[in-house]
Amino acid sequence: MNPPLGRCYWAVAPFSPEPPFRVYAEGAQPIAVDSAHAMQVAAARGGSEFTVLTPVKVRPVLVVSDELGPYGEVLALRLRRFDKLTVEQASKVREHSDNGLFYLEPDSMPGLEAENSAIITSLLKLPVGALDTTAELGQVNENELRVIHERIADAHKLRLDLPILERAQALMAQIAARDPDS
Amino acid sequence: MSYDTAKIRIMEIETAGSDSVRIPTPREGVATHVRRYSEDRAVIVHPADFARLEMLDNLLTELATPAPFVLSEAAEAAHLDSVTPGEPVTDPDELRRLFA
Repeated sequence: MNPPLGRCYWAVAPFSPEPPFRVYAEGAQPIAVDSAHAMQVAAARGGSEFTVLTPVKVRPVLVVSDELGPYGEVLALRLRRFDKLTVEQASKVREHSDNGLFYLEPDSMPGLEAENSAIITSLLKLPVGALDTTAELGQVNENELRVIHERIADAHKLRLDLPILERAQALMAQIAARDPDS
Repeated sequence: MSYDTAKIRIMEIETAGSDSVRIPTPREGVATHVRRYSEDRAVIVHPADFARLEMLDNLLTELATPAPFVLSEAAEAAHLDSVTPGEPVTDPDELRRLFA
């Protein structure tokens, strides 16, 4: 696995903009817009790009995808520190019995201050420039990453039936080509 | 949105009594096309081969069906906290100090 895939880094992670949207106005107070519809009305009047003031949090994340082609973007999961879990919840996560929180083995994460888990449903799309790649905080292995991908697909109910069927068909065609009598 | 697994399943299965049709003896590993007017009317396969096809059919259906995903209380709270902004630092003096 080539970096940044499977690694934890500090990142500048934005929160999603939500109403009221605070639209930046040069030299003036931001304009509060109370709904997406009001934004659409403004767009219909001729301007569709604005600067919305959105809070960010500098936090560790786990990168779960390769860079997407030429765009320099990755998918990453936010983390949950164990000091925010009860003893019972923490124990369930350590035993990999909580689908929503993937346990990050402390030995593999020497750069994280506390025991942590990756929040499967808290998925971010980030430019690589938003990651502090000067220091890796730790790394999951290939098998752990596979489980994380499976859980993300399950959580988001991603339709994987066609890729699975196509892969199966391609494999069958390969086998048939190798052994025409089969 | 839920999966329509019926659309993924390849075959529905029906049964006919052996006295109601006249069929050649099926051989394992061989599929016999029954043709009429140059068109396939049926394909006869050995029960062992059919069992294998049925198993593959079930396997594909199983693969294409997502496992139920239920968020625990801890995971729900973690998600909610992770997407809820806290109090951002906005004090200019404090910001100057932090980014000096």
